[in-house]
Amino acid sequence: MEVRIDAAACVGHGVCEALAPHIFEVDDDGKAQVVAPSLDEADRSDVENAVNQCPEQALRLLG
Amino acid sequence: MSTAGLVVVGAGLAGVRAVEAARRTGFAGPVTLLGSESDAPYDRPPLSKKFLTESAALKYLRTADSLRDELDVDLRLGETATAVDPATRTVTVGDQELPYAGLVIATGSTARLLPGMHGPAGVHTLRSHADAVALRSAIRPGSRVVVIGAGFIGSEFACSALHLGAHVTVLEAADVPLVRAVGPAMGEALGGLHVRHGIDVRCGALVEAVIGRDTVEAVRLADGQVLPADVVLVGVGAAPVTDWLRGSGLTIEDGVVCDATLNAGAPGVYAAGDVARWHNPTFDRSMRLEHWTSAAEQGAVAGRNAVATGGPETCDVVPYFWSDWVSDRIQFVGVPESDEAVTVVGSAETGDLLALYRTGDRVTGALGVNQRRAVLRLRLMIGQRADWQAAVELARSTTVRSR
Repeated sequence: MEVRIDAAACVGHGVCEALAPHIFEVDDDGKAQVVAPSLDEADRSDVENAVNQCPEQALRLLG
Repeated sequence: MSTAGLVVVGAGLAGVRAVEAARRTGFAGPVTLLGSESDAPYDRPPLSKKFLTESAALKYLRTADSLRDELDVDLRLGETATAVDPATRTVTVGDQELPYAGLVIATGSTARLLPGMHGPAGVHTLRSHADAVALRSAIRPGSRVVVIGAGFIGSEFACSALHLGAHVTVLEAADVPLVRAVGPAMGEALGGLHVRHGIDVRCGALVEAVIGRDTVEAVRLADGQVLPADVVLVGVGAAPVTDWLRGSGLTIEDGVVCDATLNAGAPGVYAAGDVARWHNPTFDRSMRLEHWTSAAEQGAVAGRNAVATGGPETCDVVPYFWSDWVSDRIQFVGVPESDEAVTVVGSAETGDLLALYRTGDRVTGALGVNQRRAVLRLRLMIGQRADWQAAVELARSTTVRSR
């Protein structure tokens, strides 16, 4: 399982970080980053939630 | 007779999130999604921004093919429900009575109109794809644009029109812009941003009439002033689309009244998005929101609850909205009603404002201009019912200062 962030689309609303702060963080440039060292099945629903709630559709879940 | 499944009325953001969430829980029954517009579900926020300024293409939330093939949804575009009967659990669509086991009401809202002012061509509202297409072709460099209402739609549109080379005047009936959205003190501060951007904002301006027979020529104010206009945008708020629910027995009070689980008071019937007025447990009060993120959150909760076999979940929301004015990003989290609003850092004029809203000893709201990191962290704190002092400290340590 992998999550990709489209940096061009991300404008730093931080909705992903609000939903899953252990996985996402908005950096000083206002772009979301994945901060979790690895993702496992336990994270799937959090990641799916973040992907669906991203106002810019900047997140994609692979695998 | 078709099998009763999930019926979602309204194919905007809340409606799409409802069908996605229902499928994600494993619901395998029939799902019907009704959309009154002919477009596949699309994203509305760009319509007042990039769609106008960069002639951006319509951004779909999901294509019709994806809904039909991947989610096995019976997508019916250009169709809407005209009645609900909770006793027989049916929705009227055209001459069909569509049975439902679960129903999500997500009919959204419609732009409010000013009585007697929408006759001549050139007077617009901005809500749908069609509205935005009409505005995009109406504005040219040098156009004289009058915006009635200094709310967020009016403000964003004013910025976009300015970007396209129009001369823009914004008229606001209240003494301060954006009072309902951010409160009086911060409304005044944000009004200052428009001035910095070169937009003429006139508060306390009461519009008496739109002049022009076939085509708009001017806007006349109650004090006798006449403002010549080629394009008029009426941005005076939105009204929930609930007319079709008259006679359903559901309680309608500026929206479909729902409990904390978004249940509308009848078995299996939930509401989400602009049309829903629900009891938000985070603030222990009833509210109706017209924000992107709450529509997405409510849609997902309503979709899950409408097909759930166990108990329904509650919908806890910290309201969040953003607005882009020229190069400035305005963000608000929480609720504006409070004991006081305090500027913690910067100012609107310098493009680095962060203000906190206090209710008792709790932080209940935050407004930022170009303060992304701080605002989203404050959203978390507000959801955790954090105390005021902790919020002030966090605000001071995560804000940025311009220059």
